[in-house]
Amino acid sequence: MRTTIFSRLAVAALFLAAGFCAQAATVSAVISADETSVGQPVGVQVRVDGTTNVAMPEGLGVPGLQSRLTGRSTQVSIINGRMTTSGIYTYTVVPEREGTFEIPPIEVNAEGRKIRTAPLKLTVTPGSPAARPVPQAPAAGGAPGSASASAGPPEGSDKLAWGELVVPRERIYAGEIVPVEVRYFFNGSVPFRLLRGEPVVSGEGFTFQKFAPPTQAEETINGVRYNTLTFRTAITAVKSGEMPLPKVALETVAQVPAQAPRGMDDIFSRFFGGQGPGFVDEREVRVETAARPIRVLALPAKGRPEGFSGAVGEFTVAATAAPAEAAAGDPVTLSVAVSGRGNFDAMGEPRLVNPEGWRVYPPTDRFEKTDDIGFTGTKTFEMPLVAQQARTETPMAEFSYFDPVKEKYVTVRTEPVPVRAAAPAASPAVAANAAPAATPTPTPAPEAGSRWLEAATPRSWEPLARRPVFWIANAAAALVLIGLLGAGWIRRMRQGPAAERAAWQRERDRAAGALASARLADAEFLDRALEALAAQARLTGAAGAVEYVRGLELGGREVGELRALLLRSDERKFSGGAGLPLEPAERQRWAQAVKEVCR
Amino acid sequence: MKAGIVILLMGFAALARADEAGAAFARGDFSAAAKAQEAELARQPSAEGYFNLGLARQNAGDPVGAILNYERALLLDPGLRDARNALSKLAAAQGVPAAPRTWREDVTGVVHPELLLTLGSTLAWVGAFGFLFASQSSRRIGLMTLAGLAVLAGSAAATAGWLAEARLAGVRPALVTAKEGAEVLSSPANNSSAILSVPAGTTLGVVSPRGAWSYVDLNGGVRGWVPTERLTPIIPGETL
Repeated sequence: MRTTIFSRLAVAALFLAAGFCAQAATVSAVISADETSVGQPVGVQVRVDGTTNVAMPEGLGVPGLQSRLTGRSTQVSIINGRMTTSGIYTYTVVPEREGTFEIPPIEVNAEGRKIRTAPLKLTVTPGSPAARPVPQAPAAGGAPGSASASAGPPEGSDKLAWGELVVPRERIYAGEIVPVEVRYFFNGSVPFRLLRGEPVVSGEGFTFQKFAPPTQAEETINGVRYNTLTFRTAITAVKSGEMPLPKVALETVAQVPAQAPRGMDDIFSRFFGGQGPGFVDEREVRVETAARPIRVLALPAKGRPEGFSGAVGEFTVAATAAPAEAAAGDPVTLSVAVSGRGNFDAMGEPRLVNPEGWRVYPPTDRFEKTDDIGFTGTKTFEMPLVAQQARTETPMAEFSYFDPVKEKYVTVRTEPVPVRAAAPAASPAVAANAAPAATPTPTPAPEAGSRWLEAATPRSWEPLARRPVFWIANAAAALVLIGLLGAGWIRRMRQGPAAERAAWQRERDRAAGALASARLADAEFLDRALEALAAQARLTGAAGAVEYVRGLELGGREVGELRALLLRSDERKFSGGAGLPLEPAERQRWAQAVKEVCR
Repeated sequence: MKAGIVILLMGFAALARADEAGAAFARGDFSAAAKAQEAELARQPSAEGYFNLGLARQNAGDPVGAILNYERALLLDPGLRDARNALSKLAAAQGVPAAPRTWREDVTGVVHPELLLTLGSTLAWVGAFGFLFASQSSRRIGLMTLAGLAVLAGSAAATAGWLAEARLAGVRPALVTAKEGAEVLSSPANNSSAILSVPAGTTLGVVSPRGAWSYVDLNGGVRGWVPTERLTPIIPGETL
């Protein structure tokens, strides 16, 4: 307990100390896209460092652009004892007409001081059929940010919590990676805690990237304070058609006020007006987004470039080559970097334009993402090239992609990179390889990186589990196992009683045979005699030596001797071994009697 | 003796055909390469052979034929990376939406399902026999535990191999080979409403063929009706 208090005090002191080192407020603004079309929303993010005590304008006030402050979040970080507080404010901007707009400096009132952002530019192209003006956020009970294509607002602002999946466009393309935000709104007067750290997706037809760590903010809607939790991710439609967006649910527990326990109602109604302080009900609340339909288009077949390898997004390419000089036969690595935003996972390598005089080997690739969901970044393809003829520059690389905003295929090229690559010494093999490139009508080249496979493993179209050989082999193994089990059981059944009987016979004969020895002490003599009788009893089915002797027919001389033997044995047992010594004649008679009954 | 010679001659003839296809491909005569490869595959199917046929078809300007043969190669050997890479690039270029990766692909990318089934069932039987013999041994507890674990591990591997085998799944794989693609309809009638349209080269699972119409399943779980004439079964010789 004491440790907890001290640690809290230490953290508070650290915050206070760090607060003194806090820097003066600065402000910056970025726009999510420089170009858009009518009806297609973009985001403007304003970051205020150094303070969170700021007053932000509700809109940007640019004629022709609908704008609204739709998100706020706060970050506090301490680096090397220096505390930085930042406020991040997001405006959703929806263009109403085409043109080039300048968003003027946004004036921020930070702790009484007015500071301004740099101006921003936005080019708006004519609206495509995909783009249509999105509805305004409802005045009452509407979810903030729903000006973008998102799930509808809650039916009433009295809801404890609701969620919305914000998709930036009304129509998307199959295979396109679309960054989305999943926002959850929780009534600020009710404490919530998460049961799971990540939302759960239920639905089909879309794949979701991993969710980025959420950001938290506060919003006030119709005078009600809401805590918001925003997860960023990206979705990809796996097929075309009109499909519902999957529901994205967050499992939480809400602590709602509860009545005091029975019997305490009066006390609390007297002092607290009916509700017991601290008495809460924990109620599991599943907050989920609505399954709103979205149209997924197939990539158009018309205008598809020959080298299109499935990239959908917005990309630029740049090429470098190393080394700048290569001796005969040495490779030159041509690195083609594809940067931008889109489906880096699905894109193939760029195509080389007129690679005559070069032998091209299959490329390797690596991807470096610049955001936390892998939507933006750079994918670099490294292609080893070996000059077959003297060359002074690499071939150009050509990359085709589909731009979902412009809704058309785009092909971009790199410039040739100057290198000095020497031709290999003439040899028949090289001459043969170089020959096709020198012919005036080149034959169509195989796909880059594809090779004819020489070795072939014979296969059958009938799967192994349907082939008789599989079942015959398993049945044979099962039969052998059953056979072995059966044989073992039969052997035990056959050998069991006989073996047991033989063991008891051996035991009986051993004990009875030992009685003839004169060297046995009296106690040992009696023990051996009883062992022999006990073994005989087992062989005849009697419970023990006494029962066996009792069961013998009266009248026989041996029966009398055996009873005397048992009596003497009992005497010795109950007298602690101090009975009368055995006469030699007695020993002889009893040994004879035992031998007789055991015969 | 005669039979041996015949088999030997057939083997040489097959090698010659494979060489012929490879040589035609190398000189850029992709149609001849495809023809020779088809003849070879009719004699002896192989995943590599179907991949080569797909490559020849792709270079001959028949992307849908190439996709069909890449799919066939992957059905025979799901771990054939060349076929998987070529298929994903070609399908993307055709505008065929990428199917989400399944656990089946994760497993079969590492080990062939038939190998998993064979090794798993062998291990299970070895474990069962070991269990039997261990019960007679003086160190029976340790050996029986070991044998029991072998039975469990083998059974699990064999089950995984069985479930990972796409050819044992309940649906028959088929490819949309009609040039204009196909519309998946809500009922088997021309005037019924379209659920979605799929381009040529899309793989479907035929749940129930009904003559002129086939009830199909898409990877995402969407089901509907497609004219059977627009489909080609991925397993050669199978009828829809």
